[in-house]
Amino acid sequence: MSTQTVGVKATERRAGRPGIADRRLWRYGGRWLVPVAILLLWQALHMILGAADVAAPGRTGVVLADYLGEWWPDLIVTVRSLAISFAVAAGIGVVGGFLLGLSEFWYRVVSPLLVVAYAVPKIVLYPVILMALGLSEEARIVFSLIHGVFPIMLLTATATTTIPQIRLRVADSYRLSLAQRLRLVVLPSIAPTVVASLRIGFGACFLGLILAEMFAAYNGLGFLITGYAVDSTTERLLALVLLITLLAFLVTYTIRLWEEGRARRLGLTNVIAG
Amino acid sequence: MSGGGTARRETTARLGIVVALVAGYELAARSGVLDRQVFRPISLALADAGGLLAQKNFWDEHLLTTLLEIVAALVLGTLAGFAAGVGLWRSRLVDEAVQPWLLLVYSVPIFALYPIFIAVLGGGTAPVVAVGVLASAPAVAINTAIGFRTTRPVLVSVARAYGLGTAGLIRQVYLPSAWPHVFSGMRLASSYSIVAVVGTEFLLSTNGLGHEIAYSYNNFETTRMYAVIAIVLVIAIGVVLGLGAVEKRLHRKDA
Repeated sequence: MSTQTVGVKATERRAGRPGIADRRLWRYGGRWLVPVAILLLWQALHMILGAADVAAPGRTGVVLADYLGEWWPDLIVTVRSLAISFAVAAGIGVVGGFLLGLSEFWYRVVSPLLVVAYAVPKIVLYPVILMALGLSEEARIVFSLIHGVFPIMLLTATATTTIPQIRLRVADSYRLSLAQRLRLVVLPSIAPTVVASLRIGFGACFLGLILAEMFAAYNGLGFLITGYAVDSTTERLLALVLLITLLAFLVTYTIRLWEEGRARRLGLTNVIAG
Repeated sequence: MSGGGTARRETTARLGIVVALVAGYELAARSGVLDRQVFRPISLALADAGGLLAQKNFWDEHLLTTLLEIVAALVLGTLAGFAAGVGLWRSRLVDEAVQPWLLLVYSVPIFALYPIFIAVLGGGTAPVVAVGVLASAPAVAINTAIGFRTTRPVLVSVARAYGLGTAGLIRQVYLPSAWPHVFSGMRLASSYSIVAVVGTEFLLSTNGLGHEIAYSYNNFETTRMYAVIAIVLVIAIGVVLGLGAVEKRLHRKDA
């Protein structure tokens, strides 16, 4: 994950670019090119490889609608596990990261360890968690949250250490109380990065949860995937993947819209990559 | 910047934390505070790992397969990601179309796609590598675009004044200037491809280190399982630390 924030003045970036009308069209029309391209590619693969290997997009949509009722209990289980694991990861990550970021020294000491913890394939530890907690929803939740907690903590700590000194000095000169300082200076300063960290952490939690469900579980969407992987057709499999993808996009895109809205208000094109 | 003394104290403190964590786990696992049936001391896991590494067929069947898949995924992912990154920088249309989605790629559990890759690409290493490429390319693309975009305009003007064309500009100005960013992308991509390859092997593959862990778990061979876990973690941590050190040097020279 790159913690780099590239802030380019929107005006600079647009210099020498097409007129306003074109820009709008690209901004709001352009971003639909990728989903359309994926649908076309999907359809092309279906026509080249045949319905057995790749079910058609339209058919997959129909199957998804048909099976949604049957899959509903598993969907609920997955969403519930995800909500719990993400809430715990976000709580520990944001509070821990904030406390860590208060000390420059400890931030420098601990952040490289968090980078390693984030980058290591945690899947290898799932058997250990299973042996300790049994084949349970708790095991899946614990496994899922260790995916999300490290990026959230790392980015929150980075945001806290990099609050511009000048803002803290302004707070000093206004003699703000601790509560006012937090509410008016600290929180607004770290909010964008914390929100980005939650977006990245959510993806990590979801990935961990689906992995856990796919490997060893008795319910949940990931469990259904492994069941359908041996089907003679791919339509139920693709419908499930579509459902999982839509679920991931729904949450991430909502967070992203908040980030973009804020960036536009401030005249920045803010990209926190991850 | 911190002085030499602070840097040394930081390293000492970091080492202290790592030693405390490792020693704490080791003691808890040896003394039986942690369930002996479940948790194996790190020292024993590492010793068993050494034993596995002495077997030739372990290399042939599992270790080399996994390493090859990781490298293949990283190389292909880097090439694809670099091309996409240059595209993002060159074309406003590509940028507007792709940028919002690039950030969302990592929110989708890509392992869910693995059964589809098997259906399309067949068994063996190809679908594993495909998942690895998908995991590593976006990181390279995002960072390549950042690197190209933050190239100092004065360098470009000078090169133009000397009559360099687009290809020459990319090779002689943008690439050297953007290289630290591209490398940062590759460092991320290497971690992502390790995670993707080992994870994919773990789920449904029939060989490789990931599969070996899952297989040992399913057959209650806890000793072997811990040995392979140790090997994977040592490789992953080694790659992160090694590339991280190179990256730090690159960015320092850059500054």
